[in-house]
Amino acid sequence: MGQTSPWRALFGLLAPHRVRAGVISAVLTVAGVLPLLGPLLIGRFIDDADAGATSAELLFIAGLYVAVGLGRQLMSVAVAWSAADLAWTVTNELRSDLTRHVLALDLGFHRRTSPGELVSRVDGDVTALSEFIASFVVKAVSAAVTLVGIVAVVTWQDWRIGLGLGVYLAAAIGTLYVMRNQAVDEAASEQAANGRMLGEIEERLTGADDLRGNGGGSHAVATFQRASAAVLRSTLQREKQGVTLWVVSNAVFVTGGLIVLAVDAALLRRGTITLGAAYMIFQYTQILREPLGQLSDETEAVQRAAGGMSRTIELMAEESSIVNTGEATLPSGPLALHLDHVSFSYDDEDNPIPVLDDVDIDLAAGTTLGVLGRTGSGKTTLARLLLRLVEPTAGSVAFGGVDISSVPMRDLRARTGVVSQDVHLFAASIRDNLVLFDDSISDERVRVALGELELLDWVEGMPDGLDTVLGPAGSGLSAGEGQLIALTRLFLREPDLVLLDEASSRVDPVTEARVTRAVDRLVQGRTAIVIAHRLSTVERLDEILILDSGRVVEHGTQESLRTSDGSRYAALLAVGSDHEVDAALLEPAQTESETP
Amino acid sequence: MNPAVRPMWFAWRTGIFRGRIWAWCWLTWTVFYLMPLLTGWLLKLAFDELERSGSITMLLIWIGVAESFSWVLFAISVWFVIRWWVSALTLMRTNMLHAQTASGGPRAAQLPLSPSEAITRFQEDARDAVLWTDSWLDGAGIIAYGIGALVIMSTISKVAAVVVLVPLVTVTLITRFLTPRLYAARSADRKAASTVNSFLGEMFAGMLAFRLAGREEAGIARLEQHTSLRRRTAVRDTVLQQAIDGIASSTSDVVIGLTLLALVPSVRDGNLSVGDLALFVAYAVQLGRVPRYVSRIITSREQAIVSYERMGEMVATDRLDDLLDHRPVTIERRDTMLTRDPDPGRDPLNRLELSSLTAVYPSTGGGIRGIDLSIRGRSFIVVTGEVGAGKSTLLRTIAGLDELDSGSIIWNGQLIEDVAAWMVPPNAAYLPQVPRLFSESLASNIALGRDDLPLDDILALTTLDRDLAEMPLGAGTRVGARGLRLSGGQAQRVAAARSLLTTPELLLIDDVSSALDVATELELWTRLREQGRSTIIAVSHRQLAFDLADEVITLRDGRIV
Repeated sequence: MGQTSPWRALFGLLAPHRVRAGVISAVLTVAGVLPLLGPLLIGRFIDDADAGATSAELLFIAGLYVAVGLGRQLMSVAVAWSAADLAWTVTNELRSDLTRHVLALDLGFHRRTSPGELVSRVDGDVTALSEFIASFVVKAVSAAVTLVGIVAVVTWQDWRIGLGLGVYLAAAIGTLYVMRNQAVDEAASEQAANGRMLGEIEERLTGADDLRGNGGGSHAVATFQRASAAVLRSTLQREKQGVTLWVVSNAVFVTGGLIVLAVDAALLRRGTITLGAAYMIFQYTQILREPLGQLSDETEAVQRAAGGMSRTIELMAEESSIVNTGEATLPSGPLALHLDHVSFSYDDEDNPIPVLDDVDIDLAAGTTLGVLGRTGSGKTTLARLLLRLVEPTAGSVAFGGVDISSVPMRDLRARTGVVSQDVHLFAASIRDNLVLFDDSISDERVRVALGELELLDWVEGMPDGLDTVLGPAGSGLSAGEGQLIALTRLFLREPDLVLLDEASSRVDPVTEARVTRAVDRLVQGRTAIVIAHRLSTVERLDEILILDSGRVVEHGTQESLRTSDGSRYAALLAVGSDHEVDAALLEPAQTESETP
Repeated sequence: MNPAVRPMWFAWRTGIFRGRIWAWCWLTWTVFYLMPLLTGWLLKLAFDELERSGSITMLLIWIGVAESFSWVLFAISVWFVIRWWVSALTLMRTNMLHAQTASGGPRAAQLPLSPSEAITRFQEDARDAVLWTDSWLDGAGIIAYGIGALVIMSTISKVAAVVVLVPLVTVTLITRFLTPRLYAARSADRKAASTVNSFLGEMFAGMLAFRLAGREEAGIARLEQHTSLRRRTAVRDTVLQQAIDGIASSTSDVVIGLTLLALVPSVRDGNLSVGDLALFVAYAVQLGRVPRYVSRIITSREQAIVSYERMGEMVATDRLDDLLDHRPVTIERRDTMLTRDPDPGRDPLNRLELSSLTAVYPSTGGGIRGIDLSIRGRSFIVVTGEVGAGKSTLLRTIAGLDELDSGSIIWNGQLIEDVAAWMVPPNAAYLPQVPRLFSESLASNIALGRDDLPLDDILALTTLDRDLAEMPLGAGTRVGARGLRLSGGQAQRVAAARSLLTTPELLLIDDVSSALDVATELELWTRLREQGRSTIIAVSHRQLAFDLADEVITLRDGRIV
């Protein structure tokens, strides 16, 4: 893990926008100075009135006071606008970078980390950061300027009071900071009590039938009230802290004000300061409260933002185990496939058994291969190896004679395509599902592709055609229809090597016919590997390969295996075309549980 | 607006639920808000003394005393407000929870949304409703202060007192104008944020699809469309919020400035002391807060109306007033904690007649149609049939969990009007197909508050005693959130023990086959037959159940075949 400090990282993010950030800081400084003018003007007003100034002069001071008040307001809105815009621009860039980074991480990472958790890290943590920039920085900078300004102006009036004020301020900030940190603990335990109470409610609502059917409603209400009693206790506890904090900070301010008044009185008697100055100094102690409060209010935001930033840095430091530094190029046209003594095992402790064991496969360019095997025989891993989602533990995989680990990932993806068994469908329009949100692909091209796969009438039969929006996880389409979407996705990309993982679940006859036609069209002129679950599918392919416990037990052309005596394939054909292949392959009397 | 929502009446009901505490809240809080009138006046006297070069020591002491008194007031009133606040929240939550879990009665209601969505009714909506009542506390205090301040100011300068009103009214109007826009902006921002969130979720869930197709950048481009929209909504939200906050804080400045303007003639005439000026400034700062509080009352009223409506979904239809029904809330230390209501009396079942029971789900068309059955007391009836044949619906309608479209249930020759209220232990108990356990102890899960009943027999009957022998805490073992610490079979047997505890007259048992193995199921049926007291209607697909049954009923498409 890199030891980058969260604050340095934050500055790094702001660096490209330094001009804008600089302008905002300048405006913020001015905004922090404006509150200083109020007491100054009133003091002046008092002294001028005392000295017998004209009405016009006094009116000018009063008018200036109003103008400063309005100016402050305008400035605060302008600052809020530009700072928020900057904050969101910067963090949006960070969101994109993080997303790009996360998408490239390996499968192991994604297996460890749920999408929900990733969303909270890519958006939640970063949002804490944007709020920090947009609100805290703005408030803190101008509050700090105001505080420093007050001390400066008072010192200019009388250095002794200024010094006293400085010391007093430091003590006040220290006290508030310490007390507020304690309050955080109490707030956390109140939140926990609240969480338990709400959890209790949710659980009872979920089990409402059990309660109703067994007369348990009043029990639920009674236990809920017990949880609420705990909430009351913890809230009172937290408020005790809150009230203490409030009283202490008030006492600090009031005492400060009273001391200043007493000092004022002494200095006035000696004639060191004017009455206006005396009032001004007192008024400054009154306006200290707001910036001080703002500074201490936001300590939590600072912690949140620092936490968010550290987690972000941590996420950025995650590295994919798949190295992507190769520079070799693949030959053009359909790609031949060559697996050379490939073995693979997951380095999970629970599952040290090799999943693939010394697999050799040769497939000529433009040939289609059907792969058969039981669940757990290594088919899925074979597919992952071909897609370079995992690296072989031993041996190598080559496309068109080039080792795929030496080919840049982008080129590899551009030349290969896959239809997985459970196609991921997005809660988005059919169009977005087909082009994967790529706006550069025209509807015309999509229609042509659908037409070639004979699927145009299917899509146009949907309620809104291409604009039909699917529900969460693609609800609204069956598994077979999901395959049709994936086939079209693939066809639009024109890959040279395709990998099809047939759906094992039952597909209705109409859809199945569509899938068959689309697959036939898709594999034309391409090298294709089909992981099949139905004999009707493999019967149309050039070559057949049977995997068992991670080993290739049969590989040959359709014809040779069909006719060879004692081949498993021939035996399968004998059982009958309609049979589910997976079930039929279970022959060698093995009932081990499926590997997860 | 739903006419049943009467915000003022509801606020009143919420307040008087803890009437005495509420009255104390008003008293202490209002006096607390009035205190600055006194300290402002003392400050004026102090500056007047300073002008005359007199001694201000006594005045400073008095200011200190007045301030200390107001801190005490603050502490006391917070103490009262919190107790009232949590009680009021608990009252609404209790009423909603009661409606959702009650077995029958006019107040019972069904959950119209998912439990996790419903939780916001218990949290945000309950809070907003209490906040509305609470806003009157602050509102009344600050308004009393405002009136007092204007009266005192007018004794010094009538013109200045009138001039002060101008910015106050203007700012109140501006705030009123901006606040709905802020809410609109905020909800637009929430929507944009949730679009970003769900798109990110989609991207990560479909990570492989993007990667294998090499379309990561297309996805990111789309993400950027969403995030840049969110940038605009978030900025709008921030700016409006800042404008409203800023207006409130600059009101004081404008009030002071205008006061100075209005006071210039008096100053010129020498009728105005520095003390008067100090008083005006001190009062103006507080007065500047008035618009904020006034607009808080108005906006919290609007939010409360929405919240009342949303909470209304949780109580029985057209019975919104149930929400603030003053039922016992026992959350304070000195309260005796609420316990469960006693079970109704037992009416031994000799014959149960079901006459043309019909309950059809409009969405799927599934359910039961015209079921006629006459069941002898203490008999064992097994219901079977394919998926969707209406087996569960039959049991649920008898248990009173689903409403009947038509038909009647007759217990010992007597028509049952409120089925849900009747079909509770010790008359009837229901064991669902997928029972839910709660994160309390195993014993509490079974007893559901019937702490006086012995558990031993029931633990033996459900063979749970063997499992408990392996748990260090025995029946006191906490089963974890939703019973996740137990195995499926254990959870099913705990739920079975729950429904058997009172040896109910009628036992309604939905399909247990999925969670229990053959041996356990057989044992359960055998022991239940031996127990001999309960009439049993059970859904099962296993031959062993058919063998033991007095009668097997097969359903198809909601009818008996």
